[in-house]
Amino acid sequence: MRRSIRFFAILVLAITLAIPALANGAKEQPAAAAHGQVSLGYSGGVWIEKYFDQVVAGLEQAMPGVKVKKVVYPTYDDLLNGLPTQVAAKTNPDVLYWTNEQLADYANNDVLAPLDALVPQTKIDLSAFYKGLVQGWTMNGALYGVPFNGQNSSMVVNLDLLQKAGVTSLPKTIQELGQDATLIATKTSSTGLVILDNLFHISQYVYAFGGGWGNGKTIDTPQNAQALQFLVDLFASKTAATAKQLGAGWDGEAFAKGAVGFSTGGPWYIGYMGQAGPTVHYQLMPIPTANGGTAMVTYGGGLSIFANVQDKRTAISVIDYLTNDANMELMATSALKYLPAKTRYMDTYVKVVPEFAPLRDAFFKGTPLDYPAAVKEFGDDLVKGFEQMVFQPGQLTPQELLKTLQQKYGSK
Amino acid sequence: MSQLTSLSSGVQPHSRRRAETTAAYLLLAPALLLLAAWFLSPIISSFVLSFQGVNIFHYSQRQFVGLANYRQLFSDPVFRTTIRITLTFVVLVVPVQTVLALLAAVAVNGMGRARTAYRTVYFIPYVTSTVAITAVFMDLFTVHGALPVFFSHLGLPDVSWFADVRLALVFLALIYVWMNLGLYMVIFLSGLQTIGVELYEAAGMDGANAWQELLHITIPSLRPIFFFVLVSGMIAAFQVFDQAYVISGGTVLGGPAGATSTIVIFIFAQAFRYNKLGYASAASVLLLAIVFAATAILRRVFREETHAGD
Repeated sequence: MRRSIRFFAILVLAITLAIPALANGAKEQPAAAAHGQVSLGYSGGVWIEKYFDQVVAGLEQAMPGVKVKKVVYPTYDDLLNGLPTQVAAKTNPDVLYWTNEQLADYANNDVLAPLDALVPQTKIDLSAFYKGLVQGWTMNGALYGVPFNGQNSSMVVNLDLLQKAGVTSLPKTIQELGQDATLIATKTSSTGLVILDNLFHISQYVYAFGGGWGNGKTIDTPQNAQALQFLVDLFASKTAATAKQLGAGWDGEAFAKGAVGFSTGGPWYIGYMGQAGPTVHYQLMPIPTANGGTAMVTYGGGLSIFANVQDKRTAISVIDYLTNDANMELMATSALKYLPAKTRYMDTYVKVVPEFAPLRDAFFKGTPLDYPAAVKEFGDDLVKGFEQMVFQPGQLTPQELLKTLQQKYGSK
Repeated sequence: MSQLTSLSSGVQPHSRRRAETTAAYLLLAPALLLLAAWFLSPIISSFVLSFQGVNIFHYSQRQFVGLANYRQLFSDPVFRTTIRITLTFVVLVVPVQTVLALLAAVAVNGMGRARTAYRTVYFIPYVTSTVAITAVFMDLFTVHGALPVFFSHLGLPDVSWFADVRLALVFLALIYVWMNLGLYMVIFLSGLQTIGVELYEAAGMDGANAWQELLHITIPSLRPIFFFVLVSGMIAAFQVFDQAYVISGGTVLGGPAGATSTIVIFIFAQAFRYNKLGYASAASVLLLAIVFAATAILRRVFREETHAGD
């Protein structure tokens, strides 16, 4: 009896001593120590929801102390529109899966947590990701998101219309692309080029002419003016049209009808065309520049943590799990078919999505978006001005528009 | 019963009135509280916010800026444009919907048994989703579609109306009137049913035709209804938003080239796209002032007409 009491006492002592020791050890392995509930926000869609269902189930199994609450926004617009008020009311999710187009706005307002001190506490190796994507999530020297998947801009070409117009090869320069679009419009009675009149799509032509916004430093450059003039001329000759003019909600919808020669798009066309335009013979290609090179913007989805999150260590451990190798591979091979943000999955992705092959090399050299800090206001003013030039010719020139924008949003 | 009578007769009329007043206030209290919470408090908050610089991301760090938001608004060419567009829209929509609703009400009123069915049919668009109706109209008015082709025979261009700077506001007005016609028709219809039949019988005996009956009996009898329809129609038209929001889906709000940029679109963009809550609140207060002024003018016009009629 006395022996068993002694044994019991030793056992209690051992457990008492072991618990703090285990806890200390756990500090070095945050994934094991993570516990509590983390809310993960993302915009919905059949495949992304299925993907997150599977990944989150795996996470909760691998990290038994962690529960992930999924906050699904119906659309990405809903996510962007609802987020500011959620932040104000402190009802935002802890971790957000989103793209970095509006990163400047959130980072400059200290809404997001810098991840530089948190990442080293995990197994996340930033060198495994595309450099352009990591750069895209870096603002003022601080990292505000761990890249999750890659997206990029490209040109989408209707090969049948190109052939009907008598063009035998793909355009090598942006000027040649304009000529081919004009040929398509005149010889096939189709629309030569469609554009969704928003900041992203207009910017692609700006990059093609060697311009860019330089985060507000290079708005009124001759290259940018040249790009806008290029589009204005295509509209004036009725070669180009906006997606709305063609009765479509976005450029892909117009392109899938088979009556458009060129469109600025990206890998998201691949899945969409399979469903909406299976008979359209098309190809993705890097956007040709004025001097015969290629221009490609790489950006993409990433995972950010909000500054108001109390338990950032658990939040980063969730991001660590979501970006691990197994989940990256699943992203490429599952029905989601997104390009994983880690370079080593490019070959897997190209095998699964062969349509991406022409963009493969350009993706590695991709550059991040360079919008000014007040991205939404800048974009809206640019588009309004662009529409004014296109729909009310003679009222405004590209130089006048860019000069006004430089004065208003420039950081020279 | 006699006991009750004697009891009630024993209570002083003054104290009974007080008890009734207290009971009335108590019964009204829940509704008043809700009204204060849902309507009065946002108006007061907006008014207060209009004098503050507010970044929605740092809402607790609001700063008093005096009249700066108002000064900026008056010098903002975009805001001036939205006022011009909204006034054009109101002028376009309110008379048209009022006249059409009246004509529809008169027509439906004379339909006997079929009245209920027609009333329901006219009312359906009002209770249908704005997004759905706008999407359907956008489909109908797409380039080379049946309607743009039809209107091209009348000299209008065969274009997607909602993507054309010249036609986008007309398109917006068209959807708006179509959606709201049923509501105002039902209001006119209820007014028509209060007009005594004997007035029409007497006019008939005097040899009045249908047009004269409409002009000299129906319209004057509906004066209070007209005032209500015009005022509520105008207030609602000043606040048009949903249809314009759907039209610009995917691109910049108020497009193309700002052609459908109404005041509420401006307020929404400032508050929820650019996070300038104080500036948006100042615009809201100005909108309130404009609506008040327009209502006061209408009220005066109607009062003067009533006196002149007397």
